[in-house]
Amino acid sequence: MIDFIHPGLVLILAATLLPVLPKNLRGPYSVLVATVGFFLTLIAGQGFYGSISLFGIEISPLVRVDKLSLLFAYIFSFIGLIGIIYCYHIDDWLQQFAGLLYTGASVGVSFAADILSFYLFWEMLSFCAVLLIWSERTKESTEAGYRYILVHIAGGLSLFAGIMIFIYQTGSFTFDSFMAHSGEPFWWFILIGFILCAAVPPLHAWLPDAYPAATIYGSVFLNPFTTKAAVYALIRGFPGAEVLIYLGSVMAVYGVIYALLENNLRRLLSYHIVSQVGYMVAGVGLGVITLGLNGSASHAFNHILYKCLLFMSAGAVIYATGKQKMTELGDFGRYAPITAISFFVGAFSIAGFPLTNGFIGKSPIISAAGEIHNAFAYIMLNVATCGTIISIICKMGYYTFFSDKKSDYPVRETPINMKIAMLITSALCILIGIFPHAFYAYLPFPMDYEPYTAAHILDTLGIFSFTSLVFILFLKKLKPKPYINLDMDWFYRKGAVVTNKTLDKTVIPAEYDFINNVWRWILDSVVIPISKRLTLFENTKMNGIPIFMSNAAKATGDGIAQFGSGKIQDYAVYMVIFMALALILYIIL
Amino acid sequence: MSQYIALVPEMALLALGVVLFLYGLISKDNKKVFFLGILSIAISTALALMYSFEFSNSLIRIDIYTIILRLLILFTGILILMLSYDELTRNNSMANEYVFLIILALFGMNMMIAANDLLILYLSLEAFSLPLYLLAGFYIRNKQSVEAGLKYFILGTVASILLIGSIVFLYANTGSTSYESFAALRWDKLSSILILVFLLFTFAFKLSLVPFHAWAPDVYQGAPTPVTAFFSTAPKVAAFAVLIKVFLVSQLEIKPQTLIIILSALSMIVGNLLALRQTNLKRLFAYSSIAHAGYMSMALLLVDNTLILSLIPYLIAYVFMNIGAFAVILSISGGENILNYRGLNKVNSLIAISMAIILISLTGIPPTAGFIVKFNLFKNVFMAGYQGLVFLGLLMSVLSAYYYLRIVFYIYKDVPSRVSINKNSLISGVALASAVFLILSGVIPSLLMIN
Amino acid sequence: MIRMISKKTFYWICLIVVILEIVFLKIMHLGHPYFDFEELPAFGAIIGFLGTLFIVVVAKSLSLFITKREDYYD
Repeated sequence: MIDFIHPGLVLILAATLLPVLPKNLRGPYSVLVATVGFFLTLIAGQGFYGSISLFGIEISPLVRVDKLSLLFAYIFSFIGLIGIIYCYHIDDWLQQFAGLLYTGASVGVSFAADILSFYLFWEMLSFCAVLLIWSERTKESTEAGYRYILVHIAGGLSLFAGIMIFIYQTGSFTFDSFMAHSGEPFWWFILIGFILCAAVPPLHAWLPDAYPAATIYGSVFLNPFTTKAAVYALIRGFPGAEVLIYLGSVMAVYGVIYALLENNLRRLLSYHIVSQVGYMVAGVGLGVITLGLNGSASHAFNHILYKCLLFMSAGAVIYATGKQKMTELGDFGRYAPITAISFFVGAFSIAGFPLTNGFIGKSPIISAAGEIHNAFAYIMLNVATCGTIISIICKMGYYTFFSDKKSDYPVRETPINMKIAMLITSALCILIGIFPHAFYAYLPFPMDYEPYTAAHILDTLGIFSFTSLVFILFLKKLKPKPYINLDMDWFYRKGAVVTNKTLDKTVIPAEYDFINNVWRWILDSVVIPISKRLTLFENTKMNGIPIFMSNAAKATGDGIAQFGSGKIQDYAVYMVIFMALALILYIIL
Repeated sequence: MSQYIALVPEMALLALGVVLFLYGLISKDNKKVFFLGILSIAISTALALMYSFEFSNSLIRIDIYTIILRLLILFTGILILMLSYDELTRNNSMANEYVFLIILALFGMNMMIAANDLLILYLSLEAFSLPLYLLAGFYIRNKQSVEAGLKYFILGTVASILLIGSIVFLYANTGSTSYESFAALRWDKLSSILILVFLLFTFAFKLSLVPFHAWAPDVYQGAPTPVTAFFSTAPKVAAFAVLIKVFLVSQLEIKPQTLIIILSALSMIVGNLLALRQTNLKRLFAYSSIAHAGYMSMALLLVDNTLILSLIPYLIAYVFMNIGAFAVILSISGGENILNYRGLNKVNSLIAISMAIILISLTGIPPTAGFIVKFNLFKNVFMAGYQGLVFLGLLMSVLSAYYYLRIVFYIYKDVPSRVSINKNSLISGVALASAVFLILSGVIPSLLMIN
Repeated sequence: MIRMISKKTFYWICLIVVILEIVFLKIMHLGHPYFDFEELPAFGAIIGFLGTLFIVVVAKSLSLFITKREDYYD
């Protein structure tokens, strides 16, 4: 009896079967596989498993199952299942395949105990993400996919360099807290690799660039895995790294400021990922007390639920209307009440309204900032909450589902499986919000924390009401406009263009006018004459050798073949002669 | 424990074979006989799995590797019957005899690898050789087939005489015919040299090592194709099993090293060189199997456990490679002629890719089982200090790429194809299964590397 | 939903929240603030108002520099 079956490997292996299945079986099969994966995660017992012997080095254990990795594995495998249900109806195996693979790789990341297999699964994440972006099959998505993979290769290389130095310096393969080596070069390399995937500014531009370019199903998968795997890695590797507090706090506010200016639904939501991951990064930084780490883990868990819900409802809007800009939508709530309800459940959750899982998820982080008296983080995180409310509930909610209809869009019926996926997730968001202690029991560290205190509830209500007040005052000013906003990707998108132009003006003339002429002279007067001589030599002299060898092989073969006369008496003679020779040999020696 | 319990699989096989033969005489239903034949071997395989324990007394000795090779031989038998089904039931009324002879040969081989005494060895050698002579000449109206059978018989008799000679000298020297008495041999007497040399020659004949190979191409070409597949696999497994036992298990202090080196080197050179110019695939595979026997007999130079560890994986991979290749030959009409493979890929790409994988494996290119086992064998021989021989083997492997890959080029040639496939899913299934096994064990070598 | 609540009702809600905060936190002392600035009356309302203003002002001033037409990158 095997005591542990790795759900990630099961998902990855089973996904490879998907392309060969008949078309109508692919949907049910992927739901089945995702369910099995989720079930296997549920029954996984805590402990250490597996070992491998590589190049003479024994790496053991390979798999670590503890409360922290289990929490993340639960939510990864669950949201994989939800995503698979959401895309049940599509006729594109590539997306279901990439979705299953992505889920498996994320579970693999959370269960990896040694840094090499961790890195393997980590790189697989980027590969699956690019598949999902490219499945949209438009020019924009192809370009965005290339930018995505280039940025992630850079991050992956930094991580790889860090890991190699780490292994070389310490001789250890275990993936555990690096805080004992704080400030060393590899510490920074690994940290940069992680925070690039966590989309910490200024390394975040790939996220709002790529996620809106994916398919609507793809963005449901993209949203939970890469950034939250990075949060997991940060919790595991860098608990209490002080730099993360400031990075995270700034990031939380940075994300909502951009979100407020956005017009594209999914780009707005992408900036909210940046903002929300900011809370988690700050929580990891506050992890000198376990409340911060618990807060990060619980926020990541709940964030995945409501963020997927938001992406699913945004996807439903796009599916139904074909529009993804707020300037072309409006008054959509009347056509699709279920989508609207799911959206507002998600929106209130992300803003942290009491009785939703967003409230109980991020409270521990803010409280942790208070506990260790970091006023900067405390205020920034609260300000970010204001920004979240105004940009997502007020702006996106109002201008998409209410307000006036701004263009004459068509409305398609949303498939039932998309509705099911949205409703399940909505129900979970509310249930966890109502029963926080049942959820807190699964957090990695024991904690005694009560989110529903009078002060907390009243402060939140104050923030909500006065944020809405500002929104009403600025209603005209905040109207979405059909523009885009520049972000850090300007540097490499424009930078590439400028570099090319500069090269056109400088290097290329030099090449054509000068180097080319020199090169031609060298070729004409040196290389070609010499090679002609060599060719002549080769033709006359050297060619003889292989020809001679092949002739020799042929001749020998023919010579030996003479013995295969087909006459039995000849055969007997060879045998006898050889035996005699052998005997003589032995007698003489 | 009684020796009869240890031999239950063999005895069951023999009993079932005899009963089946009698039944076949009465019923004359070829298809049913074939099916029952496969079933009998399968039952014996199951019994061999159930009774897989080590046992030894003065006559019988069953080790862990004997158990593996016994299963391998039985499994080969099943595959061979599957391959023969089409050809034998279509236009031949002697299917009953055919199945009986195959079962008898399997019985003889399994007895031979279980033997711990030269007399048992001799009896079982004859027990499987006689059916093989008959099988070689099985198409009695085909002149080539009969000639092949006769040649094999006469030369095989010489080999038997040599074995008798070896037994006689051993008895004269030590007063015993048991394998254990090999341990007492010393290099100072001509007669003790003769014992080993004769024994080695006998099995060199069965393995078709050069210069005892001359029968092989003629017989391979003349015999029915399934029988050729049988010749090129099962008897070699059995012969190597006996040599492992004599050289390793009986703690032989002296070994005819020079002779093995000469036999191995000659086999590699002659087998590969002659295979170069063949256009008949059966003849080509005859030479190729001579070359492979040459590679394998290198392992006999090893003195410790590495002999088993390098030879058994090679044997397993070799059986699958050869049976797969012959399955492809059978599934193509006129499959003996290399010209009939032109553009096979366009007609049936599944068979084409199977054949390509099998040929790549035979050449020894990763990621196939052929590479893994060859690398393993060469590495072990190299470590034992026979660098020159390994170098020769590598050189000859490169040479072999020419004639193996030539077939692959023919298969994937972009020409209008006139290949016609025999519609028999059983045969192409065997080819495909072998190819899948070769790739799988090439990727996951632990499938082959039994410890 | 937002249209159903008139602006006037909404102002009332804001007022009630402020009163509740002052009554429960300042008079009955149900909270235990971490920082001195949290002692301000109706802290939640203040940070909600100022924080949102901050975000809106920053965003609007930032957009003078970074907002471009949609075909900017083409």
